[in-house]
Amino acid sequence: MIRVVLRLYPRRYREDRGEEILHVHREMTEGASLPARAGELADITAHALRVRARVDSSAVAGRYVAIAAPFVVAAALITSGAQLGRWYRSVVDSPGAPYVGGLHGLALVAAVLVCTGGVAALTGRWAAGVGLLCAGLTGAAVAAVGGGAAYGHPLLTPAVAVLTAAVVSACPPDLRPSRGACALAGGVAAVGWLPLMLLYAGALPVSTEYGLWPVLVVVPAVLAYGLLAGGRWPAGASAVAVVAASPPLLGHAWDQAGGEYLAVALAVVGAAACVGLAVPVAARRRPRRRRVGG
Amino acid sequence: MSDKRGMQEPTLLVLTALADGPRHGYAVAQEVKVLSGGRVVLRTGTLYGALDRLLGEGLVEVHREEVVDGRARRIYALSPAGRGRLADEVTRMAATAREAGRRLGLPGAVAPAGP
Repeated sequence: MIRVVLRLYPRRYREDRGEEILHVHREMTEGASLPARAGELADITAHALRVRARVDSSAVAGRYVAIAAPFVVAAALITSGAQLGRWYRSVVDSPGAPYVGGLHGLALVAAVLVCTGGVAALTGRWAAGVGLLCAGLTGAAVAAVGGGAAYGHPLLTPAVAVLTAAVVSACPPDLRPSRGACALAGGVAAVGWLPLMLLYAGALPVSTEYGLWPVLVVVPAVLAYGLLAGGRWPAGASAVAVVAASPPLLGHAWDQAGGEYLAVALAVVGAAACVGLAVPVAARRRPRRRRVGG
Repeated sequence: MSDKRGMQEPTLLVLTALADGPRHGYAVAQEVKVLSGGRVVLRTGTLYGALDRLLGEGLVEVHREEVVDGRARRIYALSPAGRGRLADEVTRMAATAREAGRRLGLPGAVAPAGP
């Protein structure tokens, strides 16, 4: 089996490292249990796919993915949390017993999995959390394809799920987000989600946010964090993080208010990405002032 | 990436595993497990992801290549840059630990020297 997995590596990498990885794998799995052997194979498979897609931790794209990943989780948390909030509101408003069967049930379970996985990922259990989150995104995609407009857009929702799952699962295991980045992403998720709950509960003086609140919270927060990080982030990383986190936010805008407000959300994401690209370039061109004295 | 940022744990453990001498891949993984008290287990793919990155950053270098029982092995070692980076991290962590100990009033914690 390991020989088959090694073929997933690009040919040059396999020729250079294949035998070495094979032998280390054999030493690692000597006398190991079946789950441990399966875990080893899965880890090598994931590494091979990252190397092939050039998102391993030694590649620049891998570092961008690692930076963006916690904010992508935050965006998914907000939109799935909002979905659960709308469902709860509908249960409160409805005189009958809540219906939780079929695709409706699947969509709800999917949202719960995304929220549980997102919280787990941002509170120190990244691998398990990402697994749950991806399972939830798969469920949401299946519900949207099978159930049509009631559970999302049959094309947009699966596309959002694939893009979101791709970024969070591509994050290299040796560059997992730091506690600080996870804490910030968790805070952003809370600020994005709580007002939506108040809105759905009728506790705010407005009746809709036109699907724009999450994008107006997440995008500026990621951009500001990236720009404040300065040289600690590679150039343009804040723009990449904004774009990577945007699919769930754009999906929410489409679900809540349709094309007109999706265009506004896209404009916000586009403008923030431009700022994220332009500011580091401008900072490099600006001549540094010489310190005088002291 | 800036040197001012704290090192992530897998990186710190891999560099520490190589601090007292060169090791091959499997030995690095075993040493990381021992150093972390079994808490961090680097699987093969993760180990080679980390080694590739550290080689690319110039913190680790290939010390030599050898064949043992027909098995090709690369022996990895800390580069001078890796040794310096690890020393910087150790100094930073030690200063934090010393200050934490002083504030907690732990025995043996030394107050920093005055001006």
